[in-house]
Amino acid sequence: MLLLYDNTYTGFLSAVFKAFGQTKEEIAFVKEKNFVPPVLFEVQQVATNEQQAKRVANGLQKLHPQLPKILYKAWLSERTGIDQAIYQTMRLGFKIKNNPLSLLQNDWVKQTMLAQKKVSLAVERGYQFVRFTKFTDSFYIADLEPEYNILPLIGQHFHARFAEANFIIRDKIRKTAIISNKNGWQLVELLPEQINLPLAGTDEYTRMWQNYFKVLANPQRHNTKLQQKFVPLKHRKYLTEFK
Amino acid sequence: MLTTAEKLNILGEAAKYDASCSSSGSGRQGKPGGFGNAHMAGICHTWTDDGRCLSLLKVLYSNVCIFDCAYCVNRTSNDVLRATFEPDELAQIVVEFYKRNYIEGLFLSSGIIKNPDYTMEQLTKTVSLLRNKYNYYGYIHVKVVPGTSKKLIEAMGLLADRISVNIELPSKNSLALLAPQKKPKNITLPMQQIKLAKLDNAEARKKYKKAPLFAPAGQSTQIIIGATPDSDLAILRLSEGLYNGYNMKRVYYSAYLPVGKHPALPSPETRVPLLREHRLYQADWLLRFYGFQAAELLNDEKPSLDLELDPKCNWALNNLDLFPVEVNTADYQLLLRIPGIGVQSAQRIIAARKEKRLNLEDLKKLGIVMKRAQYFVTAAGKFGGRLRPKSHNLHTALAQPTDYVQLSLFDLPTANSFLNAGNF
Ligand code: SF4
Repeated sequence: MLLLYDNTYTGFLSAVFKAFGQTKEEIAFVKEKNFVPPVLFEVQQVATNEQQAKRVANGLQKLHPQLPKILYKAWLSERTGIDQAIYQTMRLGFKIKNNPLSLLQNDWVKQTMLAQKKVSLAVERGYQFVRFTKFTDSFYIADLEPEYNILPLIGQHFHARFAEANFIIRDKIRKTAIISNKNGWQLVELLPEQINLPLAGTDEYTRMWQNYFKVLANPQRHNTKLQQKFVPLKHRKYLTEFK
Repeated sequence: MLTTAEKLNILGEAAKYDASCSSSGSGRQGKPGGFGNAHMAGICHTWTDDGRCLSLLKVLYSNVCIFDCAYCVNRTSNDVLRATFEPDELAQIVVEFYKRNYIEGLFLSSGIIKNPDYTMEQLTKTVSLLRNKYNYYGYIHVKVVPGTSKKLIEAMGLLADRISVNIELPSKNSLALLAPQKKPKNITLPMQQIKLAKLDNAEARKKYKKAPLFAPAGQSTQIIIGATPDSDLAILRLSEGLYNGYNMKRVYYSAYLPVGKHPALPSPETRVPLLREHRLYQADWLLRFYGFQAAELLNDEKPSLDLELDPKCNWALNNLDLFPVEVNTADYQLLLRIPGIGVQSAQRIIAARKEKRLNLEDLKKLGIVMKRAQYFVTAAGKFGGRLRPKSHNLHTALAQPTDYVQLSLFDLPTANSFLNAGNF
């Protein structure tokens, strides 16, 4: 049976909840946006249900406190087959009544861990490579083109750090943004004119940073390859110091 | 008059010869009304063109110095352009950089202007402005000038996340030769004071939960490698003593970059001993996280680390009678000593073998580096190596052109590694 859900994680967990209720049949998951009507499978549309999703998440939490978050990360990878891998990992966990993630010998677990690792790296890069430009003393804006949909994962970090400022971080690929002020932060979809709003220009501190970065170069230890390993060229578009 | 931008160039340049990558490592919480917090794992924000992690704004307050240490660019007798910040000028740079997410915090040191206490007063003013005027709660690491008085150290400890006093040269003789104005006592005394102040603070916090934290990220120090003939054994013994005696959080090793001619210093053409620095970091790692002691790694007959082989492989080759180890039964401490198995893999083995008896195939799946481990383990009684552990051939099999990198965030046990099943 093919379970069709509404592209959201809550939707996915609702589908998982439904799947746990089925005993015999083979189950697969698909997002509405990727849906192509199949020939052989029976299709069921899953109604997104907060309550059910929460029950799944709570069950996972009991296996290990970090488990819901890690599986969510894996899901955000949107890799082919990841829904199935996560579902099987959850089943395994509930079967052994323990955290399944250390059982790397299991291929589903391995796939899940691999996906979450990729997303974790992208999140780490988000923490590292966001560069705010300054519109006014209390308004900052930054752009990203991340490999994965990481904004939901990095919002809290930046909000906690710059709570007093108003800021926006835009995902130029997915046309979404984090909007934060001292009362909280949220993820929004951007309108075309909001996407095209240019970043703030350079000022004396931008230039100081660029010079400082240049000064730190160390001719005796020059190693461009290593530098590229850590800061791949494709991530430099918005990095002030590489402009 | 120099502009702020010009000062930053001069004082950033002067600080860069500090080769350590010290990313932050404390979990300071932000406070309402202010900004900034110290992220537990430390974050590299970019990498310089030599592949070093740039996490903190590393800068000198001033490169004026009354001392004349032979190995240092800032020594009095060196003819360089001098600059000194004003406290507020520097504080503003930090704030502006931090708010744009360029940096994770500040790493501040200084040449000695007039005398140690005068210098430390300027640093204290700067840091105090950051904390109290700008409400900045990001990471701050301050290097204490040798010879600073106790009162100023205590004041700084309450403002900064980490404070450190650099040893620089690994022995008294070397110090006397190259930095005659630096008295060993002026280095060890502040270290002792930091240690004691931290212990007092811990006591105080037991009584009053609200007592301010004293240097929550602890103290660290740095040793210059290759400027003097001190052996690796001497250096590791020193580090061991520092970890045990002064509750040091971290000892940094910095390969000497020739900056001047001096009869007792290596000539400016000498190659920078980067590989040696790397081996020392590996050995240091073994001291701190793998339960090794300096005396197990080196001895008077063999006082230098093998450059071809990492210290753990080397140790294993000298203790072949302990191998091969059966991964299904060995305890954690012994697993840790197997080349190719790190803290994470050892924990994974322990978790996985509760589920089933592990075979060689399972080890691969668990991410064990079999290239090295194969010679030292059996899994379910099966030995996986091409060669039996016979020292002679093994050395060649294990030695490989090292593809090493400057130690950086990724080598630290960070949030990443905890997530990647380390704690599971
Ligand atoms: S005291 Fe410090 S800054 Fe001054 S010359 Fe010696 S090492 Fe350099």
